[in-house]
Amino acid sequence: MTHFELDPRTKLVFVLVISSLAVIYRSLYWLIGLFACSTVLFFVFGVRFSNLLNRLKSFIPIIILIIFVQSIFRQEGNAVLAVGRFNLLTDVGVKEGASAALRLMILILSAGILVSTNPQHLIRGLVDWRVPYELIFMVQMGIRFLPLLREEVNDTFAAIQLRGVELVNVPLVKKMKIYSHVFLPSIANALIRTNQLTLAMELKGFGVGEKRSFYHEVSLKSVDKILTFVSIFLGLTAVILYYKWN
Amino acid sequence: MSLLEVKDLSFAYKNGVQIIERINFTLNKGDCLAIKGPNGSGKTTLAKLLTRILRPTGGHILLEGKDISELTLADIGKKIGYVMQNPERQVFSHTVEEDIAFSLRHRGFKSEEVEKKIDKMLDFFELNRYRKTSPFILSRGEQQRLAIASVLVLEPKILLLDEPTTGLDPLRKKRLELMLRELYYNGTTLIVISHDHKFLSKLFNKELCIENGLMREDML
Repeated sequence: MTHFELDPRTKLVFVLVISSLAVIYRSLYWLIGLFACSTVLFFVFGVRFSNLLNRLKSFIPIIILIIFVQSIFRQEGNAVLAVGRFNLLTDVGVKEGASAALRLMILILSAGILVSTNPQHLIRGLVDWRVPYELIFMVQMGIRFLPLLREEVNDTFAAIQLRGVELVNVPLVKKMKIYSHVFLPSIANALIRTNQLTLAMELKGFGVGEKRSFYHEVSLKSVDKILTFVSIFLGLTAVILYYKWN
Repeated sequence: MSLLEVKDLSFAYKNGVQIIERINFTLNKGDCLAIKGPNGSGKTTLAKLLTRILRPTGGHILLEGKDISELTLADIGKKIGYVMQNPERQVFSHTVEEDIAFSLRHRGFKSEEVEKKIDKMLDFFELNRYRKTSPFILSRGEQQRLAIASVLVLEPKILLLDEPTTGLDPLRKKRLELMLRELYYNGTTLIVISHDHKFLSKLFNKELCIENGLMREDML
């Protein structure tokens, strides 16, 4: 539930502007500023704090890995941690790592803004923007099936371990082989489900008419138009200022 | 010492929704426990707690006197054979025979012994003609028989089946009943979760009814 009932397309423009800036910015300080802005927007759109924490928590291992990899492969700058003549961490490397991690967090947060959007309304709005309905519908179905896929993978992992296979103290090569067993049923089930879904959709007349009607109607209000214009304008200004000052 | 002891078992999701509340029961060798309850009452959650797939938010489960929180899933799998509600999620090898052999190979059984056990299971579950077939093209009933065969090959002391009669025709249901009866006479402890009261009433000496996560235990 958002504080302002904005059109989903307005939110989409916000997300596009923020994520584009996150990709364009290379400076750590600019990224910190952008991260602060996206956190504020996250709350303005009514996404709960617990949701923000959960979202970021699941990405912590990836964020740490990014910081570590980025830091270790940048050898220029002053050494922060060194083994003999080899610099394990340098100040430039740490900065690069922190920038990459911030970039990822901004992308996660900006995508989270769309969580407060009704998917049906988003589809309706995008169709008005001439994005093919079939394409949006397929993406939406894919996203909807992700939790189910995760549950299936977890069940298969549990089934493998319950058959007496330890996953903790297993050598990496053997572990990879075991993991291949997990993906086989998941892919097979996904294909079977896709086939069933296609049949069900065709039976319900998907794509029969040349033009389809919608139960929900969405229209851009004045506030949406203004905010869309303002966000694009601010986004472009932020890009110009960034290149001017860096 | 009881084979399985459940003490004040509770489970709630992170959002605070209570699924299971203070469930208690004890199972000894050779017991047959039927777990009944309406949809969404927490039966499958209980099965996942018994196999440590889910961690309880309260209470303990003792398997042969040991708290299962100290055991790995692999340790539990040696004693409890769990057949899930969706058997297609627990068959994962390229062929039917490989799926039955999976746990034996990982335990270092010799090839002759593995072959012997596969033959026995394929015969018992009438899956011989599918020996080299991919498990993913089997029907639901066949996949379920394969899932049971694959967990039984380890000769667990407890067999836990979640909704085993779903999608089975009367003949297959009868065969499942006969198979469970045979396992029961061989000393396997059975736990079966089902809506099918008629099926359950034929074999079981204990029943546990769950409604909204709360239990009602009756001795039949």
